[in-house]
Amino acid sequence: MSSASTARSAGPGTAASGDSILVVGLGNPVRGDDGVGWRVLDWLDDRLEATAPAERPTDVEFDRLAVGGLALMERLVGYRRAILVDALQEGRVPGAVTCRPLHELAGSPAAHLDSSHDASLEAALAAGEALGAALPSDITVVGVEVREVDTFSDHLSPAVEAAVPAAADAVAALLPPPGTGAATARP
Amino acid sequence: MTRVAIDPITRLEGHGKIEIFLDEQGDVAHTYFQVPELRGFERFCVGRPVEEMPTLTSRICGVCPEAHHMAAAKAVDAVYHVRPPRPAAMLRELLYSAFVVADHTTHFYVLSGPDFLVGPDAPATERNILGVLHRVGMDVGGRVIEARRMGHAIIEMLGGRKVHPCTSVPGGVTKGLTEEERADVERMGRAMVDFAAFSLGLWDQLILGNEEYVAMIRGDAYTHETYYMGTVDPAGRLNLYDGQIRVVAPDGERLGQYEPSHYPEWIAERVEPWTYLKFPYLRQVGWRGLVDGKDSGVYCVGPIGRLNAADGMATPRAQEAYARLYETLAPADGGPKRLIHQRLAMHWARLVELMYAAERVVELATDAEITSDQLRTVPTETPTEGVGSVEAPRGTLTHHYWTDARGLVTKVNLIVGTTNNYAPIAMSVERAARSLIHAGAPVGPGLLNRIEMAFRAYDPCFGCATHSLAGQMPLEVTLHDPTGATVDVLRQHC
Repeated sequence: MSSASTARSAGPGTAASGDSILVVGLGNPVRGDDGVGWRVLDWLDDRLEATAPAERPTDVEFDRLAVGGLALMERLVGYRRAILVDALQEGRVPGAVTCRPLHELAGSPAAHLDSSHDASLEAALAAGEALGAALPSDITVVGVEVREVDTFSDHLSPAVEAAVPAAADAVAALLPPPGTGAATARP
Repeated sequence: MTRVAIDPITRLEGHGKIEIFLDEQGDVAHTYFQVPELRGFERFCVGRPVEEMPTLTSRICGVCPEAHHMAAAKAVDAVYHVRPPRPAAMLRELLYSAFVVADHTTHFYVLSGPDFLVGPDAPATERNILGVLHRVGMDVGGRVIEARRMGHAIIEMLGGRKVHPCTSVPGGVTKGLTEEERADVERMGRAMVDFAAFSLGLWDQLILGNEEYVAMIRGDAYTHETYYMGTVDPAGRLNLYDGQIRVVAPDGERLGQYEPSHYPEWIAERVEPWTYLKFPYLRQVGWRGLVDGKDSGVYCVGPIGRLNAADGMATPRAQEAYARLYETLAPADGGPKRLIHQRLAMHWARLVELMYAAERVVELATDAEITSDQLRTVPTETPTEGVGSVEAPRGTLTHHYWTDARGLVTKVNLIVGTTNNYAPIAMSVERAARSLIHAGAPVGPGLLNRIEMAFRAYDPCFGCATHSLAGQMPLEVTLHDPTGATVDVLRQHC
């Protein structure tokens, strides 16, 4: 098998146009604050529902994942940009929202980017690139500092719940303004 | 010896912590392998409709949601006193077999691959998937990704969505296969069999062809004589999806075989003051501590647990691979079946199972009934209590639910693969530490990795064992002198 065919078969993202943006919520939705990434996507979904179709950003897809590493890399194949929304434990105030390029977080155990059962996202992306996969050139992590992740719950703690709109705003600010999306910009 | 104080580990899920105590001579006196605990799983489940459990429990862990989904589906069947029709059971097993192909592939190439295909003492920067690709070639990397993709495609086709399946309902499944889909699954299954054969060939060539690796696999540092557990079919052959649980002694004698619902009569749990996780052990043998031998109730699950417990494999090419494994590491001597005690052979056993799972995909996809629309036995009885069990990639997985007459959950008990293996993993870590740390010898990253290899063989999912999601597992090894003072701390992913 050639590297090129590998790239085409490297993941479900192959259906993407190559110009589109993928937003991934990372975390476990039944482990308290750990599920904040999913909740931010729920919030964005609701906001989009309430937006007139002409006002919605074009060529943006949303997804939710529970693990990083290879599975995350495979999911990113075929997108121009990716935004990862993740629960972080970096010692900030619970609910603090940060927005950084991936390389500033790569290798950090504070996030879910890696998988203990296969590879770090950094290694997975390097492997994907070596195999010729079309991976996003621009990956941004929107992080929410969390507090309670050791108890099973499908609720966020109050400070983290309160941060969901701000995190959703941070994601929205990274998306192209309505009517200027990648699809409409294409000739 | 100095008493061990446990620091509560709150920073991250699945945080492994190894405390090594040295004696006066600078040799290892004792080790402790600790994992943190997550709380509130039962409280989270109580009061929910039991039919939600297959979807809910698949959320426990992002690594093997399919295993939890299947164990939960079978437990819910038992709660409602129904048996799915044969096509429904086959569709579940088909999804499950495709999952095992993807999971075992990932473990072999990406998790253990760096140790065996790159080398245990290679720099950490090379011991990763990229290093593996450089060693075995990009075309092999492409095959690995393709095997994963096929597994996930079948899971999505049958499970209703990627990763977290939602097909199982009490008494069956919600989605069948069209003839077109069936043909597609059969084609992917045949490609999976080719890939498994290729992987076994790679093991032969790169691992068995390397004397140093063979010596390491056979060496004392990674060998334990314990009991073994695995699921077998009515003919005594290994089965990943359904059957009775068989337990064999270290000398190959059979201790017994039981229905999964009888697990409380077989398994007891030991609480130790230095860890949150309980140690399961064989009730009728008893707890003698973390020690080898026939008098110790410690048992091992997972690939070598299953292969040792079974009389053989139910598919032809997996049986060939199984025979070769035993001829190489435990040749027959006329007595009871000789067992594989070498923990690093877990990786080889995993490849035998990879072939079995791939062959099962083909067998099931070519069964005349697989496209039947007999997908469900509708429950009619009042729900009560039920146990469901499958062989998760990491070992026997048991779900046990109790409900009220309306089917609302009142109590839950789970025993996951890695929990079953907690005692052998702790023993393997200690054995590796004792074998590798000697008076005066420097302790460095290479040592850390060789100790890690002892538990990597089991592919432990301590996140899952504590009902959590695992990220990159941080590991911290602390060395103490006889007074308890810290001599050195080695960290990885911390």
